Amino acid sequence: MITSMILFPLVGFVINGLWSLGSARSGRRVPPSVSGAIATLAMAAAFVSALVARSQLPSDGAIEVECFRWFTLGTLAVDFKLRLDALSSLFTLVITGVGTLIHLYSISYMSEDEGAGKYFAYLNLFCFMMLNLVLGSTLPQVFLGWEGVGLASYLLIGFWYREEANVSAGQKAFVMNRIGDLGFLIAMFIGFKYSGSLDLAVIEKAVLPGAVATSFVLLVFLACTGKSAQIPLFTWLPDAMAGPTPVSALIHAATMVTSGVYLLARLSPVISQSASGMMVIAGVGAITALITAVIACFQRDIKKVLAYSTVSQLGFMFAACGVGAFGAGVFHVMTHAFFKALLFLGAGSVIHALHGEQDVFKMGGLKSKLPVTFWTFTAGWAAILGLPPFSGFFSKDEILHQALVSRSGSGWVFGILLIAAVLTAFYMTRLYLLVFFGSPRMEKSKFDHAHESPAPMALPLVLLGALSLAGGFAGEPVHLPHPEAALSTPAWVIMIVSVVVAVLGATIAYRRYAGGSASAEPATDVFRIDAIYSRVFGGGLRATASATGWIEERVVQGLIRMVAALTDLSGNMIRVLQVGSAQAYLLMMVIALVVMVLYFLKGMVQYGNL
Amino acid sequence: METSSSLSFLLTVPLLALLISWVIPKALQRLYAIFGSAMILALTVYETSGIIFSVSTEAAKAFFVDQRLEWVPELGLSAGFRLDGYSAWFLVLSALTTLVAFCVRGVWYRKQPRLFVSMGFFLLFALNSAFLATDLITFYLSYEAVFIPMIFMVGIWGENQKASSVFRFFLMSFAGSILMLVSMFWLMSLHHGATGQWSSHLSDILGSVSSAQAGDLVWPCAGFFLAFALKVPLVPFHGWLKDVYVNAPMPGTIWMSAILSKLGVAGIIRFVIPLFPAVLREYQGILLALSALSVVYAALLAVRSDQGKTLLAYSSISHLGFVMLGLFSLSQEGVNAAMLLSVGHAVTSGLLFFLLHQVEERTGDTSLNESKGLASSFPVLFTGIFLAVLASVSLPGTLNFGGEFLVLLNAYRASALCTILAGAGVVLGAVYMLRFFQRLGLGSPGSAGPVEAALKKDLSMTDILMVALLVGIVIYGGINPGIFMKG
Repeated sequence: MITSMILFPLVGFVINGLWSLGSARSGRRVPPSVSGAIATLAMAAAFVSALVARSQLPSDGAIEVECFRWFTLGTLAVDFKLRLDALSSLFTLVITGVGTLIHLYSISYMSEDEGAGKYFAYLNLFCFMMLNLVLGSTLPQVFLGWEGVGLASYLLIGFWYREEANVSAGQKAFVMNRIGDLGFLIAMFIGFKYSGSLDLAVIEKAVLPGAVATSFVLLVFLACTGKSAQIPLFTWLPDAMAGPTPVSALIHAATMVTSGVYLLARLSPVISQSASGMMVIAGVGAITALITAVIACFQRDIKKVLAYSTVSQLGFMFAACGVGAFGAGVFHVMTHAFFKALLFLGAGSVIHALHGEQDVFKMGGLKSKLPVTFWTFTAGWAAILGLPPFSGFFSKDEILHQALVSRSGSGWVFGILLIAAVLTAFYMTRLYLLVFFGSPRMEKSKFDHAHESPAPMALPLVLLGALSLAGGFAGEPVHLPHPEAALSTPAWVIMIVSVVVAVLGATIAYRRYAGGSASAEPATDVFRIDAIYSRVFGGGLRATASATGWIEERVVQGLIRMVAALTDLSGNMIRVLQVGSAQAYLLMMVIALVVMVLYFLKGMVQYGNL
Repeated sequence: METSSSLSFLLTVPLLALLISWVIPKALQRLYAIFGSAMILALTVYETSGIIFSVSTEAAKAFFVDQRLEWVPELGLSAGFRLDGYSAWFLVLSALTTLVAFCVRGVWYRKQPRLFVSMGFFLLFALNSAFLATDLITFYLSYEAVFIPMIFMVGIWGENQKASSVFRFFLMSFAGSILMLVSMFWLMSLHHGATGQWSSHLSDILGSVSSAQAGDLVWPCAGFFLAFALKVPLVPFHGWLKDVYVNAPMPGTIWMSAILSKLGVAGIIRFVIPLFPAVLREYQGILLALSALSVVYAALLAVRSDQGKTLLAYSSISHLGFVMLGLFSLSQEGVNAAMLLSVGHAVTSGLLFFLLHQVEERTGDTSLNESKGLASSFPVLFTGIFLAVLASVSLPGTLNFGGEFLVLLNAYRASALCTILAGAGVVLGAVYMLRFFQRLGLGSPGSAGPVEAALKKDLSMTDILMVALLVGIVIYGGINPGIFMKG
């Protein structure tokens, strides 16, 4: 079942990939509905496999499937082996479940696009790689998935590649992820050096000497900051919104960007060995949650708000991991996958209805026009705010609680997350009010033509809405060891605090934006982080490259020119080559050959080979 | 004896192909060259199959062949060849590269095609002989013989027959060979001093070298090292490369980048590492630092390149820096990893130059100053380029990943610092290769001016087969990299 789960999307990718390549060569087009149906069926089959595999999973155990020996060298042996346990099983269910819904949604969303065949191929490729990431039993396998999802992300961000900006966004994502991946690589080298293996089962139990453990943890976390868009490598994610909206929902909200949390949870025993490493993770997570929540308050583009919101929510998850509450982090991965996928798909439905409009200040009053989108979006809004009984309430509350009471937690982390929670409620309510309430602020004809999306788009919204509503009742889906508690603040106090801050943030937004006709705010780049990065790192790279170019031109090439100038041979050489005829060269070669053949023959005769 | 005849066979078949090319009509030369080199590739794979398809190095060893032919024993002149886990793959690679190079259409099939084809087969013969050689003199002669066809390539079919590039190439090769020849005589006289007999065979020399003082071996080691560092090339010995690569005709560039660079690698594996272990260990820090410098320096030059061919040339140096890093980690594992990456580099760079030529043929221009948006006009061609780009950035699942990963893993044990420095090349590689793809393929079409209607054809069926073969090797090697590590 595990093997078939991973093979279905691969088969879908191969079919759609070859088909659209073949038809591109002959100038025909793949019908979007057919390729969409193939891809969606592949995902649905994978989802069924994931369900069956889950039912076969022994409690507290794991299923392993050996596929083949990948490589061996010296003492290193890496098998290609799939491993399903409670943690990876949860991720496979989210990937294939939410994945199926988003594939289904895409059939309608991409029905007009000439590259739909390619789109579905890439989407299947993404799911295949993502499953590799969570099912891999060795670090190189995880890395295969890790870079593979990065590839799919690059392809889908720059899917409409005729626009220069989309392509640049894809490249930015790939390169920033590569910086993190370098951390992953070096962490693997350290892991191998000290544990003698690259098997997760060995590495997660390895006991590393103090400084080594810290560098290992920080390098793994560097990889996570790339893939999961945390400070300092988060600026690619808002740009990644250049891709089609279902892609943003699947890759850049529900699944790929949570890989970092998966990796930390997977390696939690070894991560917990470094207290200072954990402190960095908690601090970076909390600060990312706060800073990007601030930025989200100043965005005008509906997808950008959601993108910064995703970075901020991921910050919550990393803060949870940093205080040792890996289970709470994983819990939030699940609920966030439901409500953020829902919010993105809802946004896609709005954008679809308004023919590409993404500016929230040019929306408004869509409540009655898009009833399904509105009601499901409301569920997503309530979930991200953390209003009981919506799913986000349970996971966010757990994170806040652990941040305060855990031994590795602190008032600081708790306080920062609390402010971030207020801001979350603020920017989401702002978005919600600007899109659905008040009077319409777009041209009248646009408003009149706006209509609810067709069933393949509405159905995923409804299902995700239900999950956003009820998905939190089950409690923590994976039982990872809980951190030791240092404080005994009762859970109900935190619950009340967390609901109060959500209501507070929402109220501020309500007082400001419920007035009906909101006046447009300029989109502000609050911290100018992107601009600073491009000046410092982009400029730095250009300067280094130019300096290298200067050395090459002046020193290396200069020396060669000097030697060349000292002799006058060069001109003569060319003349010799050009004056002669082909026959002359052939004669030269014959002579050379005869000499060589004689040379060999003599030896062979001597040794009786001939 | 069945085994040693396979060696003679591997050496003589390219010569046979050369002779036949003289009677083939001009118009059929390309067809003949492709067919001939494909046959040689198949025969090479067949003859070496015992080694390359064996399940392990241990199993492969049964098929290793050593052959020694005395020529003038009094003077110690002999010919020695050895087919082993390294040379078997180098032979396959040289046949494969020759096939790719012959596939490229161009002026060389119009202007003196017979000379071009016979030069190609002669090159293949010389390469095979050099890869197999275990005798210093045999190696030297073959190594020099490789140079003859290359200088003709650059001189006759070169882009603008720039005197300076031919001269630089000559100068580089000459300087390297002289240094190597002097080192060879040094070793031979060392052997004569120790045993009273002349010999140029590696196994004899190894015997007397092992008892020599490490201090006496520094200079001959430096001579070999410099010759190979120039050939590969390793920064700062790369100055000749850009002009030669850019001005050579595309088949020449393919040969140079894919397989001639491996002569240096093979030379280090066969001669330098066994002959001078103590010297290398003493200077290991410098060697690793130079390799890492090579990776980063060339990658930075690639980042600012504004021509497709220049970018690929620098990218080639950068990747070969990784290969050298593997060699100079001075472990069996490191050398095997370097071998794996060598195969990856040969296949990938051959594929990239091959496809770049296809772009040039269709648009007459491979500058990277602005986006050309060609991908929508030539979807199959650009799918091929994209796959080659992925291999070049060593994405897991490609052959190159295994090579780069294992090289760095082993180098890390030798020097963490150099490994991390070289790691910057992993990031920079993504920067310049994605830019390469973006500028040629992406963006809005038409910004590069109208493409001639007659040329508006995507890859032909034979070209697709060629690309599929190379991509197939890259992907197969990504799944089963062990097949390339038989040393």
